Amino acid sequence: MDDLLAEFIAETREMLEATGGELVAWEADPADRARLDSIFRFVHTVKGNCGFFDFPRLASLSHAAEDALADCRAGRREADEALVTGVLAIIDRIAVMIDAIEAGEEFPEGGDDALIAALEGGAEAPADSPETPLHAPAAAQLGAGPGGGEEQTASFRRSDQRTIRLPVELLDRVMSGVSDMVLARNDLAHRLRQAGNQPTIDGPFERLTTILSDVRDAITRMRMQRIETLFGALPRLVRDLSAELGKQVMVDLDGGDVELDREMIETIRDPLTHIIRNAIDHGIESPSARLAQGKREIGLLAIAARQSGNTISIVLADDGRGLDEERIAAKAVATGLVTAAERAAMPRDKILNLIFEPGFSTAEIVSNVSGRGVGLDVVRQNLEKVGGSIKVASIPGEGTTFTLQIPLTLSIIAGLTVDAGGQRFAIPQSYVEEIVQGSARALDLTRLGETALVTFRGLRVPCLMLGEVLGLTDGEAAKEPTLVMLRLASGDLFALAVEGIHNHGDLVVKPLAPAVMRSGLYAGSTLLDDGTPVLLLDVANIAAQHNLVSDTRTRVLGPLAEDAGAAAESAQRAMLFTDFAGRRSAVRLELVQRIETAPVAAIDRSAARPRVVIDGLILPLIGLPEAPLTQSRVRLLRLSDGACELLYAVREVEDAVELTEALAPVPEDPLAEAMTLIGGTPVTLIDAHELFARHGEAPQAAARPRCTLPDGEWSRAILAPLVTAAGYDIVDPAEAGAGAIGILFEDVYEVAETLGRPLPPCVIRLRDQPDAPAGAETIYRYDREGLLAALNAAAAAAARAHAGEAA
Amino acid sequence: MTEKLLIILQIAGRRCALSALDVRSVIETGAITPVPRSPIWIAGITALRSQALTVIDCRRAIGLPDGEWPTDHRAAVVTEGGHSYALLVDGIEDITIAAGEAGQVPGGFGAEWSRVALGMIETMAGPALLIDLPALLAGPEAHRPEIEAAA
Repeated sequence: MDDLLAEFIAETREMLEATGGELVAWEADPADRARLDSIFRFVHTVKGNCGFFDFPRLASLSHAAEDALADCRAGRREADEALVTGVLAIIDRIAVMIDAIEAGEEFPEGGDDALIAALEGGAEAPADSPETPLHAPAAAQLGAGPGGGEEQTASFRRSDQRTIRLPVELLDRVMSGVSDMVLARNDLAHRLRQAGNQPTIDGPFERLTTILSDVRDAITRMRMQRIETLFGALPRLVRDLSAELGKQVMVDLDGGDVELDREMIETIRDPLTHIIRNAIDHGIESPSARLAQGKREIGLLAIAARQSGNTISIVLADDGRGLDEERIAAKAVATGLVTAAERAAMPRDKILNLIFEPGFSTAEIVSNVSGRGVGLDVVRQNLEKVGGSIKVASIPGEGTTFTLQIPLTLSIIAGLTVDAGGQRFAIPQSYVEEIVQGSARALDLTRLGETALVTFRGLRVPCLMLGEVLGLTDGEAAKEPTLVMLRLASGDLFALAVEGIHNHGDLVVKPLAPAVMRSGLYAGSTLLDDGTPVLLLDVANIAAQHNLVSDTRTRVLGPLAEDAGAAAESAQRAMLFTDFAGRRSAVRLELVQRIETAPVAAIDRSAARPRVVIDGLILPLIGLPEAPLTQSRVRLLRLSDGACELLYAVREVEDAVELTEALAPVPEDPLAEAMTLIGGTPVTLIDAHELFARHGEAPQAAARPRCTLPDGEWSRAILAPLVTAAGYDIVDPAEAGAGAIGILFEDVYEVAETLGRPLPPCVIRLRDQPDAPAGAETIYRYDREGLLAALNAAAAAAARAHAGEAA
Repeated sequence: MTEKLLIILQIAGRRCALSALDVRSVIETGAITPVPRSPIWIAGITALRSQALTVIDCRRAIGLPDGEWPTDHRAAVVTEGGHSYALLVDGIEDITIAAGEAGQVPGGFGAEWSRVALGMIETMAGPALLIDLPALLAGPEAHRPEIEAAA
C-alpha cells in the first residue's frame, strides 16, 4: 500500500508541475479550450485516485473543481475570473495536501468548504475581496504550507523504501550501454579464444563476464515489471468502489506473471482504473436487480492479461447488464457524433465503440465515482499514444468485455532461432508446440494444390514453408525438413517448415521501422550474441495472411488429445499394408499398437502356430507365407484388442490412411470386414473381430512370464536386474504358480532332487564354474547369453504347456 | 542568420544535402541482414552496437530506376519517428555551411526528386538539393498515386 501511495503522490506532483504552466496560461485566457481540457483531466485524475486512497477531503475538492470545469466545457458557465481563481485555489490546496500526505501528517481541518463555496457561488464571493486572494502566490505557499518548514525533516523520515523517478531515456541509455558492453565482451571473448590460453587474462575476464551478466539482469528488471504490481491494487479498488455504490463485486485476476515494460504499466494504470470504475458503476447491477434477473447476487469482474507475441492483451469482463445499444446510439445522435442516417447503417459493434468518442457518456446520474465522459475518451487517447488500442463487446443482460491491446515496445521473450533460405529468423517460444524432425515421407508431407499438409499425431495439419512465405526459396521443400509446430492463441495449429533449428534463448526484441512492419511478417528485431540482427517473425499475422486462422479451423484443428475417442468415430483411419500374399490390406489404426521388426530367426515355428518373442512376451504370429522367408528380417504389425495381442506379418507397411470411401462388405471372405477404395485402388479391410476370435490368445498367455530366483545377495543384486530386464517378473517362490520358471543353483537343485522336494516344472540350474561338468544341464552363472536363451526356451515351454492345458 | 551545417552526399550522381542536425553519426556499414518481402528500397537491417538500424537505399527510396551507382562503405545514421535508419548513398562528401535558405527553381526537380526535396540550397560546396528526410523515408510508394494523378 505504501508504495502505491508513494506512486500516487509522485504522480500527482508530476501532474501539478506539468499543470502549473497550463494554469498560468489559462488564467491569462480563460476561453482557451485546450488548457481547460488539460486542467479538467488533472482534477479528474486526482478525484479518481483519491477515491481509491480514501482521502475524502481531497476527493470533495477535486470533485467541486471538476463540476465547475465540466460546466464550462458544456458551455453552461463562462470561464470568468472568479471561476479561474476558485479552481486555482483548489489546485493549490491539493498541492499542499499532497505534501502533508507525503509527510504523514494531519492536514488542519477547515477551509475546504470556503473554497468549494467560492466555486459554486459564482461571481460574487472572490470578486468582492480581491485583496485576499483564495490562492496564495507560490512563494507564500512554500512558506505557509502546513509542515512547510518541517518538510525536509519529514521527507527524511520516510526511509523504509527509497524510490526515485527517472526519465525513461536515461534508463534506455543505460540499457543499450549494457547491451553494447555484452557485445564488446563477446568480441573480446572471441579474440581471446584465438589468442589461446592466457591465465593472467582469463581470470579477470571470467569475472567481468559474471559481473556483466548480473548487471544485465538487474537492468532488465529495471525496465520490466510483472503486471502483478498493477493487479495487486485492484481488489482493494474494487472493494472500495462497490461498497461506495452499494454493489457486490468479486474480482478475478489472471495472468499476473505477464511481464511488461514499466513505462507501459504506468500508461495502462489509469485506463484500467477508469474501466473498472465504469464497470462497477454502470455495468454491474445492484444486488436486488441481479437477483430479479436470476443472476448471482455478487457480480463478477474478471481481469486477465495475456502475452501473445508482440502484444499484450488485457481483457476486462463483467457480467453486468451489458451496454445499451439504443441508448448509446441515441446519445451519439443527440451529441452530434453521428447523424441519424449514419446510425441506421451502423452495426451494433460500431455503435458500442462510440463510447470511446470524446465527450460521450450515458450515465444519467453523475456520481462521485465515474462519469462525465472524460473516462473513456481519455482511456483511448492514452492507449493510442503508445500504439495500443481498445475495443468493447457486449451482450445485453450478460455483460461487457473490454479488450486492451498494448504493444511491447521492448520486451524480452523466450525465442527460438531457425534457418530459412540461408538466413536466420526468430520465433517466439510461446507459440511453439513441438519440433518435429524427419523425412518428408515419414511426416507424410503432401502437396495439395498450393498448400502443403503434414500428418502430426494423426491430424492433417497445414504446413507453410518458411522460405516460401518469405519469398527466399520456391518450389520443393527440403528432403528432411524440420517442422516447428505452432499453436496460435485461437487454438489453430500449423506447421512451419524450416531448414534448421539453432537455439532457444531470451531475446531482447526491439521495434522495427514502420516500412518494414508493413510487410506484416515481422514483429521486431533482436540481436544475436555476436551482434547480428535477426528478424522476429509475427507468427499470428503470417498465419492470418495464409488464412490459417478461424475459418479453416474445423478442418484443420481436428480433435485434441482429450477427445480422441470422438475422433475415432468421425475420422476412421487405417494402417495400409501389403501382406505376404501380395494383397493390399488395411487394418483399423486403433488396433495397431506398434510396428515391430523381428529377425526371421526369432520366429518359433515349433508349435501349431508360429510365435515370436517380443519384449519378453510370446505373441502369436499370423500372416506368414507357407514358403520359408527369403529375407532376414520381417515387419510385424502388433495388434491389440486391449487384452490380447497378436502379430501380423506383412511384406510392407505403407501408410496410415483415412477411410473416406464407402465400405463394401465381402461375405465370401470371413477375415475381411469390407473392401474399400484408398487412393483409387481396392483394399481389403481386415475384420478385427474374426482375427482375434481365431488367433487371439487368452490374456494370461501374453502376460509376463514369472520366475523364481535363488536366495542370496548375489541373485538379488546381480541376477534379478538381468532377469527383469529380459522381461520376466520375479516372484516369491511361495507364490509362484505352476508356470513359473525356477532358477536354482546346482547344489540346491541336487539337494532338493535327492530329498524329493517339489520343484518347479521348468528349472534353470546355475553352476559356479565356467566349465560345465559332464552330463549336467547347467549354465555358468555369468553366461548371459546362455541364461537368456534358457529363459526363453523355458518360457516358451511353459506357455505351450499352459496353452495345452487350456485346450 | 544562424549558420546551418549541412552534410553533402552524392545520391544517384546528384549532390544532395542533409541537415547535420538530422544526422546522428556516420558509420561503416557492417553486414546487412536482408529483410525478405520488404519494399525494394529497404536494403535490410544492420546493427550499430546493440541497436538495429533499418538500412535504406536512398536511390531506390527516391524511386529512381536502377542505375549503376557506386555505394559508399559508410552510411549516414538518422533518426525519424523514434526509429533509426542508415542511409546508403553513392558517397558522403563533406560537411559544409549553408549559404542561404532552400528555394525552388523554375521547372522543379522532376517528379521523384521533387517528392523528397525541400528545395535547392546554396552551400560552400556549390548548390545542392536539400533532402526532406521524412519524405525520403516514406519511400516511393507514399506519393505514387499523386505522381500518377499529376501525370
